[in-house]
Amino acid sequence: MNCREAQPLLQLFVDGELDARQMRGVALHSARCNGCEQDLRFLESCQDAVTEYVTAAVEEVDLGRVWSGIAPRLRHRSTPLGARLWEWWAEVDARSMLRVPAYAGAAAALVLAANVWQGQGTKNGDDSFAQKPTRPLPIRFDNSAVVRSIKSEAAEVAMLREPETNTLVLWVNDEGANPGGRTVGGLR
Amino acid sequence: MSGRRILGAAACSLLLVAPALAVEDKNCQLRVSAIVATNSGRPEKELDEFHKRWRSLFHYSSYKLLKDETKNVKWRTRAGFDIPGGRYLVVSPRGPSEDGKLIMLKILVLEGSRPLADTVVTLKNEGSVVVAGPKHEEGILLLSIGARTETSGPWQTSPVNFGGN
Repeated sequence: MNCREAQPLLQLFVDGELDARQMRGVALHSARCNGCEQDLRFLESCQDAVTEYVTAAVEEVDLGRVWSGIAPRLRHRSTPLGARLWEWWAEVDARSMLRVPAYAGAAAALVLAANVWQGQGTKNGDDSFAQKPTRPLPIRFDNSAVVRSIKSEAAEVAMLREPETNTLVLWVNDEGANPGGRTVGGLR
Repeated sequence: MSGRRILGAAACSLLLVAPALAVEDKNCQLRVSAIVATNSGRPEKELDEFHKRWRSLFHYSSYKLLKDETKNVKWRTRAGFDIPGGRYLVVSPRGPSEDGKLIMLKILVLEGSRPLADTVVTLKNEGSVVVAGPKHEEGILLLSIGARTETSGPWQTSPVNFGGN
């Protein structure tokens, strides 16, 4: 691809509207051509400026009324028994001094259980637990990332997180396939 | 007096901007790895750790590293990577944060004539994101896309062990 072919495609490249072959052509050409690269950078900075402006304008929109419209409707929703019991307990808990003895009792039970367990270990001559130096846990790099924007022509896009390192996974499901070739159950 | 103030202000702003300039001064190093996950064949031994780590998310029994490529690019330019299956990946590092701890990346995954994913993400310096799902042979492709400010040392993370030790 030369400059004459690349120039009309630059805006479409920035908008992601070219087909793969053309995308690749423009990307390869701009890597070699300083002029087209500069033009691409300018177009991208324009797009960034527009995005920033629109985002700022959206943030200024007063969404206060939306909540006042939703809140009354939410009150009519039925609450599950467990949630109602929890609410009732929280209310009682807040009004009375009941929580002090309850928590003290729980703490005492925990201390007692710990003492009994430790006592048993010593009685059996197994004090290795107390003496063994604790092995340091492996330190994992927190690999979390934030998605600023996403567009896709795939049928489905999902965002997953690998639980141990918080690694972000963008799952693009194009042919009804799921991880492991299973249905949604394959995704955890 | 006003001249001194101006000089002082200039020195202060230079001090504030200097770390960002120092980070911007370096290139961005991109690392792209393509792994195919299938339910046929035995897992590669090198990918054992990967398998253990990722089985909570993906139900595949076998993982195979197809590609692991590193490129150094200037900030706000782009790098293209050929991806197995005739796909193409364009990664454009928009820039590091002022303290150099975060990196903003634009990622475009193309399949045929369509963008499978066109996204802008902010990740930690030397962090990575995974784009998964495109079909490949009898399984799916996992693309690990990592970025860091250019340094000569080895990567703390690897495609088989995201998050390091």
